[in-house]
Amino acid sequence: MLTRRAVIVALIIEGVVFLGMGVVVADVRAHKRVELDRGVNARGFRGPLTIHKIRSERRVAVLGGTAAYGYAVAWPQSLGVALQNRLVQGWRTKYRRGYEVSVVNLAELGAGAGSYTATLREYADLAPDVVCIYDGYAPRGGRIRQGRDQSMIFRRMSYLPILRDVMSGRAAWSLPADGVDPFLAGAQGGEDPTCDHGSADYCAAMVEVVDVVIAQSRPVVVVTPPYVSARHRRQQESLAAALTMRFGGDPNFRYVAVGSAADVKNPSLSADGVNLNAAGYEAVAERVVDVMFEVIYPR
Amino acid sequence: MSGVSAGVRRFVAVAMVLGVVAAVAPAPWLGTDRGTYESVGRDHVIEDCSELHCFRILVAWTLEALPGPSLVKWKTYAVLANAGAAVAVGWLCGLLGLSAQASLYATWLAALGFGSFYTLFDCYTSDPLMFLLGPLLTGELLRGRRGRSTALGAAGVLAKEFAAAPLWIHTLWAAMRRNWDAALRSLLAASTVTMVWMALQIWLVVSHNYSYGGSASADLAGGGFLARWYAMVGPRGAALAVFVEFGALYLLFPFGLLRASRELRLLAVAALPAALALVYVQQPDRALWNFHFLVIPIAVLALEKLPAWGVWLFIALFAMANLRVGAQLKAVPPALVPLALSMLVAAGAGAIVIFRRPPALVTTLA
Repeated sequence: MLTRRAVIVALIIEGVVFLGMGVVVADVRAHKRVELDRGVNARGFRGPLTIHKIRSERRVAVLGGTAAYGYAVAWPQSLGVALQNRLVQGWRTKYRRGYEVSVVNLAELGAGAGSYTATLREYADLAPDVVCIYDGYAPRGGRIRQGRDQSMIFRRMSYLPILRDVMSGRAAWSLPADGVDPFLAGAQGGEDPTCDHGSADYCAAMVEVVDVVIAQSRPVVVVTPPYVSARHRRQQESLAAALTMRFGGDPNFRYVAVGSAADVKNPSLSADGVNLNAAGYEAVAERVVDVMFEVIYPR
Repeated sequence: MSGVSAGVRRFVAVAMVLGVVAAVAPAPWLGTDRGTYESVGRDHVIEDCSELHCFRILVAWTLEALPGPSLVKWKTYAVLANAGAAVAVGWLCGLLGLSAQASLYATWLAALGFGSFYTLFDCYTSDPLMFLLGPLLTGELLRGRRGRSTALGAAGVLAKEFAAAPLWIHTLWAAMRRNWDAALRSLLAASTVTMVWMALQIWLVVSHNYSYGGSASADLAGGGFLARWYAMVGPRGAALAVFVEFGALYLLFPFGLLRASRELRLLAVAALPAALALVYVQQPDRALWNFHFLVIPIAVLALEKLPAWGVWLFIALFAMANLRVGAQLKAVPPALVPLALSMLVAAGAGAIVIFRRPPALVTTLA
């Protein structure tokens, strides 16, 4: 039989464990509070979490950085929801009955092309059928502030604790937006931003992630976001050429340039000239939806 | 005949009666949790599950792993667990100092009660195991076997949260008796079992995206399940549902309390916080039967003062009412008649307690 002292020590230890459990419960509740707004779910991406995939479900995973995440909008107004809403509209000519289409937005604030392959690996259990890469304006190896990979718990358990950041107001979505990579921001001048020169690393990273998806026999749609500068446009046109040259003949590859379909200089689509608002993402989704339909159903 | 073989015989007899009731009970026509429990048993973990029952894994995992048709397995489990619960109530009565005859009465009242019969009708539930664990854990704790109680409770909370309740009741009971050492040790057992329950919840929520969904039980600030249930059934329905749960035992209970030992009374008082908490978060009428292991022994203290034929008449009327409202058998007469008659018999027992003032129960604990 335990001595009274041992019982008291055990109770103190249990008290500490209960405290830890209380913190976990509070963290889970914090996720529930922010995931419908501008924050992330327990697995570290946008929107309510759904792991289970039903037999008839076709799941689209969106990869990207701040632009794909939708820094300026709450989850219901973000790209993932705008796209999903269109993919379930039965009146669209390319819509096919018998399938449930869902979109998971795995984008991360500040993430650059160099992180997309790791993101795909991290969320492989979500088993996406189609990958949509909506790249933004971050450098290839852009530093991700409060990035999910910086959490040891996330790396080990795939659960992203946020309570401390939420309570201190330091959650990634509460901080000022990263803005555009200075390399792309200038109108002209500086190093050539094409894939052959200044964006060689960036383009190589984009090619790599497309390559990884195609090697898994899954369709991939690369979407160029609205142009923020002439240099950005040159970079993206050069990327389009590089991707088309490499994967153009592959039926699993598609490329879409949003281009003028969502002009970030239009104040009705973007308040700051970089981050789209709800109407901006509606326009992007409208531009992308038909291409998504072409790859989303099994052939 | 040794105590063990008597217990086995009693168990077999009760199981046979309950087996017949389970066999003739109609299939539930109302929505049940069968689909959820079958899925939990088959898949073990259902990603994104937002059903409260997905957290109650033990019975489903065990039964669905066994060979045979699902309904047969669940009915058999309900019969065996309820028979075990009835025998355990009788055993607990013995520990509390009730006579062997009173223990026998208590066994049959537990076996033929509303909760037992209702789970034979709707067997896809963890309740029969909880009905068994209530008296079993309380008895073991009264015997000072905290290690065994902790292990049983820790396993039990994997089936349903109620399994922690007897440990908390015993902790409070020991504290009310100013037995601080026992209270401290029971507190450790209760908190350990509660920790296991919390760990299960957290594991399923964090790793498999479980949630309580829109369950009213989790809406503690909004009145829990009690508020929703009351809004659904209204005052008359609520009163009726709570009344049929124990029926005439309600009338016997206060007279039984007059005869109960201080220990037994304190045990009843110690159970009040747990009972109120469970009534708040669960369907109140069904949650109440979890405390049958305390209500029945106290009620029997009044009932046993009747002549034997009077007691058996009461048990028969009690069973008849519950066959209708619990097991949902349409072949038996409406419950109103046996309920009213059993109330009359209970009133007679109460009168004997009041006017003859039989000696109070003496509970001697180790």
